[in-house]
Amino acid sequence: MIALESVSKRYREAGADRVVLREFSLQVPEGQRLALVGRSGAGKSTVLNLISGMDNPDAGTVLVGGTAVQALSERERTLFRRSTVGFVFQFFNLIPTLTVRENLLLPLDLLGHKGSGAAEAANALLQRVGLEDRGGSFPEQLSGGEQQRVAIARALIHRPRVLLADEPTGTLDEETGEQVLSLMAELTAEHGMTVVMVTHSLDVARRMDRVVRLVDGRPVEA
Amino acid sequence: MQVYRASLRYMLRHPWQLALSLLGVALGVAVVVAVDLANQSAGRAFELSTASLTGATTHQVLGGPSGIPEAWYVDLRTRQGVLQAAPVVEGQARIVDAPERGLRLLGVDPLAEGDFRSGFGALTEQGTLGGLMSRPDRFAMLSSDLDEMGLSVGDRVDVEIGGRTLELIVAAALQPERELDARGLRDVMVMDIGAAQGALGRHGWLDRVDLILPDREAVERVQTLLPADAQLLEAEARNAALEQMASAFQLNLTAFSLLALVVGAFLIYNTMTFSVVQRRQLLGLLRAVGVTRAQIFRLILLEALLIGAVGTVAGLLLGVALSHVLLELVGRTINDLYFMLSVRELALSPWSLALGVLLGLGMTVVAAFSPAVEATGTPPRAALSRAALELGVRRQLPRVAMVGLVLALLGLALLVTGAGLVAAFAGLFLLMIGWALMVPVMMRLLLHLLLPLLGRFAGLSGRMAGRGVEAGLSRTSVAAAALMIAVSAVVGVGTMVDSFRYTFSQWLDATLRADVYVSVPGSGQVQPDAVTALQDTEGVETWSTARYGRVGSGEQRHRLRVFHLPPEGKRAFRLQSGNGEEVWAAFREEDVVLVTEPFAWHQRVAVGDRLPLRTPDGERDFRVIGVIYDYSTSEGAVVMSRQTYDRWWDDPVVNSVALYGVEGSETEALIRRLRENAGAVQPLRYQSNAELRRLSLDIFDQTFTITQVLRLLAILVAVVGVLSALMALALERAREYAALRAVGFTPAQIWTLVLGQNALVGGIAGLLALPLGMGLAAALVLVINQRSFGWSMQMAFPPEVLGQAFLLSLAAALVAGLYPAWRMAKTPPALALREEAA
Repeated sequence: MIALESVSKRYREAGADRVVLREFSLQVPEGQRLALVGRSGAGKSTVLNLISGMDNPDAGTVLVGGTAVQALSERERTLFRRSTVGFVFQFFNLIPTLTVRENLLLPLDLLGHKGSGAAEAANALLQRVGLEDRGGSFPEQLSGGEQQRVAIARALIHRPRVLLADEPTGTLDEETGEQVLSLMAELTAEHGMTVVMVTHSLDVARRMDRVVRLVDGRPVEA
Repeated sequence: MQVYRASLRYMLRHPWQLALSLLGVALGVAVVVAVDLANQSAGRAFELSTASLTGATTHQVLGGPSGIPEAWYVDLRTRQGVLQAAPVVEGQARIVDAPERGLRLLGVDPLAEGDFRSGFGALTEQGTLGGLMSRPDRFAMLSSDLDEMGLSVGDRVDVEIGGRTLELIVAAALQPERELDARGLRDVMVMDIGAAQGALGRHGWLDRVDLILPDREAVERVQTLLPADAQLLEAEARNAALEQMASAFQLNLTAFSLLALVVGAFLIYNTMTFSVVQRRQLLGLLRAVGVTRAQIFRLILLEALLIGAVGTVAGLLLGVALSHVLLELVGRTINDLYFMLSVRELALSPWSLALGVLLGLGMTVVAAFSPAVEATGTPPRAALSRAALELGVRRQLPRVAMVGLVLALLGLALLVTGAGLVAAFAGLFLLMIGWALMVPVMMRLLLHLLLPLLGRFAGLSGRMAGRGVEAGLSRTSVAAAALMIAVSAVVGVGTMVDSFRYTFSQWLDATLRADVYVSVPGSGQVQPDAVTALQDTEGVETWSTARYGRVGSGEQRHRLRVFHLPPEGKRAFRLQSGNGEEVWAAFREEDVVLVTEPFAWHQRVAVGDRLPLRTPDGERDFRVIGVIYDYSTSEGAVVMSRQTYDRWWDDPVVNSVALYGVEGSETEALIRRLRENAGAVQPLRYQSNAELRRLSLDIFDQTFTITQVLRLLAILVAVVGVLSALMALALERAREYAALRAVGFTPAQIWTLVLGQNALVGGIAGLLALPLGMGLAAALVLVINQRSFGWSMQMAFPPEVLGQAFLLSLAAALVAGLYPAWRMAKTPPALALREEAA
């Protein structure tokens, strides 16, 4: 499903190049739930950005469902991301000017799914994440855990083939984090989604099918 | 120290924000300084010119419309023994090879000059004196003026004087010892008085006699010797009265320049608020490590001072550069409307520069005061969410709107009831600021009305744009207010100019009824034979004549216009007050006059009043029987029938002739015949009705060029303001845009979203600018212009001006949004998300 082959990525920081990924290769079969762990700055988020097409490698190929993401144009990558990828961030990144329901409708809207079918899907998913009564609220009116549940719902509503999660429990307390992970696991399993999650927590990582540690820009199976 | 270092680094790390705030201060200061410098320079040029040309003169004798008989002067000197007397004739001249340079022709008697004008000292030197007086075709000029035109002593040059081209010889190059004289005598062409009289067609007449009267006794003695229609005026008082004429025009300019500063102040306020809001976390941390509220307050004010200081210095430099452009425009307008003045040298008045410094620093500190207070309220270690901050701002909105309402009402009250021009301008500014303070509430209301429509027509993106503007109201409303003020000024000034132009053009249509107008170029007398030749030309059905001059009245001198009118000509006068039938019945036969509207305003004269005028038989009262609309001069004029004039003055001079062709006659053919008939008698200028109308409108448009320039500058400042505000907003939302990109927004969609928000801000600003703009137009047309110049105008609200203003606002906001949109769309989402997380 996901294949990164000999990928290299460097960033220019303070006038010097910093190599983040070096000849990095990683395969994630369809439906597998992978945890990426490693020290800060090891390149975990970079891997997610490369898979989603938000960033391009300096060398190597990134294949997602047979599509060479790095070969796509900016617009094609956006359209690819729109249909294929769901994103859950550490800081939720809900759109503050849209209500909870509208946040959920956004990916469908972008894919051209409008009308009552989309609204029903949003309501159903809100119910699944336990926020059916908060559809009209704005994100700022929700707690962190609630916001993350909305973020998960938004990432999954259009049934992407890949869910990318960047420390989804990083800012949540243990109990809320647990609820969020369970919800994520439940919803992704239902649709057999491939999941790549970045985390600092080994406890969280152990709940996934596979754990890969990033060391010196290279993957090490843990 | 570390606190200041952190603050300085913050500014340096946000170069765009810093640059825009500096630009805002600089532009605001530049416009004010430029206008003030131009005004001061014009004032200085006037002072220097009058000082040099008046010299040691203490008094001046001025006559009736024809001037002073030369014989009287000769008698004064020779028989009465008043030796410190110098005759002067004045006119205009133009060197054919340097037509853009208007010259003031001054005819003096070098022998009588003596102590009068130190700058003319060289005239009395051996050689020069003889050279100038020996032949009538000689003139002298400042050596620097001659150099600029590539002339030197002995050169022959073609000079246009009174419609004729004369070949003159440069007899002397003046090199005054005093620098002040060198500047005051710029563009002055000096001739021997006899030669000047000849060139101007004023044989036997003087424009004035300058006197040095040492004591009261001497003054009283000359009083007894004056011709009946002449006045003895103190030179200083006369100069002051002349300068006073242009003061309303200059005050108007100053007010317009302050407009740019008001817009600039919004900009500074916005920048400072943003810098505080964006740094709440940093400020909270500083508070947590022990920085006191007072230190935070000082820090923010110091930052403002720093921005203010750098911006002000840049503004002063920019202002000096800009003032060169404005100086030319101001000089041109003064020449068109008031008096001949060479305004080419920029007087770097310390007062103008100090004003710029005071306004630049003062406005910055005032604008930063509120954000500084807000900064002191930052709780230690707390980073309030943007939404919570906006909530605080929203709570303040009703109070701010109430203050705005009170200010606007106060402004209206001042406009309606206040006396004087300064009160009117104060009212205007209060109205503008009051309305601007109401913008946030009105904006919120409009957004609530618009949101459902946006959702319906533009889906989630539309809602995001609308709510985004509302969510950042503290930012967007200030941007909208700044833009609104600038656009309302465009509407207000545009409508005023259009109304004026419309009124002026209607007045021209009514006034210019003849087919051909004949006059002497520059000014001068149409010789009697030429008048007869014109009247007798085939195809001329009827004619009218005009005599222009000045007449004494008490201690003042008024413009006098004398018309010999055919029955059709009377329709040229549109009465503002007075009974039409009664007016025309009395106009020819009785000792009555009409006065123009500005005259009635400035002199506080009304129908029925008696106006004393100096006639050759002494001062006589003339009854004012009507006030007529007139837009030719803001000084105002007294209008008299030729019959009445001839009853009191022995002065057959005619300055222009208007000719009405027989029905169906072709104007060009008529002009050809008129030329054939009168050309041999005197070279004259022939202008068709259409040509004169076009020329008048050209001068009108030229006069308003400076207004248009100032209007554009206000818009420029506003665009910078909007750019600054929207850039700030976009930067604040960088992460939001990155999240949108992550969920599948294309760069084009980000462009649309950012520009959509800008369009909303611009649209709302444009919408809110219309009522204020119309209010400003009404205030300018009905109050300011009335009080400045005494003109009443018909309001013209061309719908296209309103439409254009709305589009301008929209366009300005969109232009200001281009960079933020480009930057947001271009920023890789991964980078934006990474920066935010860091």
